[in-house]
Amino acid sequence: MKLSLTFILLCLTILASVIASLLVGAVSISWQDFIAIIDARISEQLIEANLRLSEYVMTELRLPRTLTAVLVGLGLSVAGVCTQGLFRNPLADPSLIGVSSGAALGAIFVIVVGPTLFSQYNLAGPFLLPAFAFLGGLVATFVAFQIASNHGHTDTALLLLAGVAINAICFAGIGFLSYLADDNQLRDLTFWNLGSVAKTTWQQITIAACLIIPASIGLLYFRHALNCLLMGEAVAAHIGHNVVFIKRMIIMLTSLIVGCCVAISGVIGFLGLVVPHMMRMLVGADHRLLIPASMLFGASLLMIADVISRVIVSPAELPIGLIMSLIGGPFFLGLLLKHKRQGKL
Amino acid sequence: MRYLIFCLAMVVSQFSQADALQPRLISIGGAITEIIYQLNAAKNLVAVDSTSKHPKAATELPNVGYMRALSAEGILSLQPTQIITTSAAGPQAVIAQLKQSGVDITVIDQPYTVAGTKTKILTLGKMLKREQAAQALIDTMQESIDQSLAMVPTDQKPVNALFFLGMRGNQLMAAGQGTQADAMLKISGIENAGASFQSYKPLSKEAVINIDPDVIIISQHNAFDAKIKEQFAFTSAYKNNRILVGKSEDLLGFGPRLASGVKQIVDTAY
Repeated sequence: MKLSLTFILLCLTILASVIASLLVGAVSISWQDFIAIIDARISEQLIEANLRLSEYVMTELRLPRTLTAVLVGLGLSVAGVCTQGLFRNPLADPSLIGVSSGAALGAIFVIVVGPTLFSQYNLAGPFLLPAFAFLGGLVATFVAFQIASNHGHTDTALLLLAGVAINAICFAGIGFLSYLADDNQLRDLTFWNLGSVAKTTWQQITIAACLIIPASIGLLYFRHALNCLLMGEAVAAHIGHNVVFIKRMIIMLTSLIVGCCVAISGVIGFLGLVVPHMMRMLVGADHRLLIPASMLFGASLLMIADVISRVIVSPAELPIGLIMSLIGGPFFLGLLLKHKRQGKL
Repeated sequence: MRYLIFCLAMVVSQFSQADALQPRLISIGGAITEIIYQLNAAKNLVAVDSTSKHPKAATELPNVGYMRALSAEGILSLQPTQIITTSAAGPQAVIAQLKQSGVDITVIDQPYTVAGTKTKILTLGKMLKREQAAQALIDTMQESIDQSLAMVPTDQKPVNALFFLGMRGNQLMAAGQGTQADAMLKISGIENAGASFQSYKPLSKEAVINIDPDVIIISQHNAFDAKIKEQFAFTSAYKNNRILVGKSEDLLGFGPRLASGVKQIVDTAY
């Protein structure tokens, strides 16, 4: 009973977040206008002249952001849950095995070297950054995985250590590219590092959705296996799971998701680490519940952070990475203290 | 088809707005804002960006944020009819969204030279129908620059200078080729001692002592640090008291205060 109530609340939260994300911002849109615009869109009527600005803001500016926030929030959270489950470590995060830094290196390479290297490929311009970010994430994972693999077995400790080395190499690369960058590129780099869901195009959203959603569903498929892995790899193997295959698939899918998220939104920290903890406190450690709960809450949290980022210093906008840490940090601390008092930790 | 109707409707609504209302201007870029004020055309200005810090009146207008991190919705909420900016404004996706919304965006980009600054002023003068004021501003600027450059001796080897940008802690960011600071030194008839590298690069104190420039110019954003000059104690510039600590918007703005920047640099160097 309590669990179903939690899920109903999570569903209501995501619904409220979507509405808030479409309704709230620098341009004020009333409830009546909101309903009139949705009504006109559904029935494909022509929008009244006085609603045109509101309609443009809602459908062309806010809707892509809302969808990006849903995709990235959902993706980073589910990647976080599965990485923590796989490594049986509540502090694990996809960034540990070098996915995020690899993706960041790919993106920063395009920002700094792109203008000179790819000037003749203008057509590919909008896709270069996401493509390289994704490629960077994938290469980092592949290298870490190759190092940790031995005759079909993957050593988790070795994977983490390889991640440390890959992170160091990627950060050195990022540092070197920052050194090469001119001052305008440096400023772009800074803002890219703070994350944003405001810059995505419909094409990027479509591509990201085609990758993130199936990969997340794929991870959901491994919910039972992740539960068994919590008891140790040997136990999971005895129960009948193909541990090697499962580990490989989970790592590939999480790196795919994180690469896509970094590609379309820049670096948004905190989500992958903290959302799983928050949800574990609410629904427990069973991955059958934990994964969907984290998906729902991660998406809501990022949408709410985005709404705050666009109204707090309106008409200007704060980077979403800042807001994430500002609302998530204290919230997480509060939850920790509450559970400590109740003796659950 | 739906898009066509939408675009037509946007255009029509723009015209009807322009008829009924005063133009609503948003300026993005410190130099552009400054020129608009100098040309006495600021009454239609409804917002500026965070680099527009001069004159003080501009800082009292709504602020759309840093020019490279703009928000389309924030700007549209101010219902502008025209946005004037430089190509440094971004992100590009936001600029595309603004264009798509039907707002008129003018990008004024000129090289960092005296001629480029003049063209910038003249272009804005034409746009805002203040040609005469623009010409007067240009004339005053040229006269002042000529006066400053008259101080530069022609019979001796030009002095060289290192130009540092906003020092933080011990990190010195020296201006190389292709920077506004490099352009400013060229205008002032001074050789850039950092010409061996591109853009802004960190330089150690040891390297500064090794280069031993005749002049050191430090552009800071805000309060001047009284002790900043002492960091360069072992250089000729320090011994001869040829260190200038100035505000970055005075020295690197390439707007109406270009002449005053040149004067500060020339006065320090010669």
